[in-house]
Amino acid sequence: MQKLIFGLAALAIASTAAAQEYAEGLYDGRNVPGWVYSQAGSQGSGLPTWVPASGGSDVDGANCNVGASEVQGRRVDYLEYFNAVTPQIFAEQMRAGGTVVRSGHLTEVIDLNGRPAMRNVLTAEVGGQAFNFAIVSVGTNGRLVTLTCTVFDGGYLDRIQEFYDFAEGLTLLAPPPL
Amino acid sequence: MKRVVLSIAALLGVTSGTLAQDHLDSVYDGREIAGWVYNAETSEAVGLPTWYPEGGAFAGANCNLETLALAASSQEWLEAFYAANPATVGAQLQASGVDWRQGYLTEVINLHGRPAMRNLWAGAHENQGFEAMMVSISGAEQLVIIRCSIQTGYLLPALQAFYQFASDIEIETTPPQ
Repeated sequence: MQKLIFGLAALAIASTAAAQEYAEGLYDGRNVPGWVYSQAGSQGSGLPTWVPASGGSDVDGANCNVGASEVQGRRVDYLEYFNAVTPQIFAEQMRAGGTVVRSGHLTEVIDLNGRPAMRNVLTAEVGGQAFNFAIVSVGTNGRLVTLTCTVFDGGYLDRIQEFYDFAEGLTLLAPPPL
Repeated sequence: MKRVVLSIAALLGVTSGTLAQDHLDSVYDGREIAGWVYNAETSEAVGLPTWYPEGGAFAGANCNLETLALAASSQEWLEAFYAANPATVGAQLQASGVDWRQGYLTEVINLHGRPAMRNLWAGAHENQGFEAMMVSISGAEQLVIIRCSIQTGYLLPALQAFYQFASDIEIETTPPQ
């Protein structure tokens, strides 16, 4: 459990996932309905990044990226931890990782393509600019996969369906936890 | 299938025969919802059981509940829910007289052990804008609709409270087969 907590707390730190639209054994983002892989965005952030096919990301900053960190957790471990998290707890973890969180809005435990997952919605600052974040932490066997979707503060509701579609449309190759 | 869809549409904007009380045997029990207080006065005025956040949190926010007698199987409910999207739900709301302005999210979920559908949307009432969460909870013979609303611009901060309300109220209808 301790390893799992450390893994989750590291969410705010850039992962080691290579910035590419496909990572063997981890994810396949070459065909995410409604989303387009952004080479420029990926190079800029150091994380594989997608932008909405509907456009407008140059205006509202909407994008999603994928990260991963090594975590050893069984399904029961993930669920136990996810169910204990609140918006306040998650915000504190992100603050501990260096993110300026203004407010946590929602924490919900979900099932994402057969894997235990947790969705957090919050508002935080990056470089003095406020953003809305939807962060889906997905428990897999050996890794915690993190899907982070971002938009300028105030734009979340207009993008929420696309953010949900990204999480469900990205093919996770990392196997479910035992 | 068509009957289910039409019935869902008919329910969205029309006051049903639900008695305005904090619990209704075999339908729901809202007597103990953490963070929420039942308001008899508003419930009577609106004709729907209505709750407010405890201690005046999230000013202007409230949740209410409606029921509709409607028999459908679990598969029929799921088919109806998966066929919906923000635009179709919006069209249904408008057709039932609601001043719907924008749909944000339609998602199929499992709530209280049965298929359900959550919608986030924006509308207006008497020129006052609001944002709302609407959860349609299926049953073997009844559909329960929970609607939580707040003034425009404040849905995001109220999301956790709204989700919690829908999760914490006890639903006592028979789950669909």
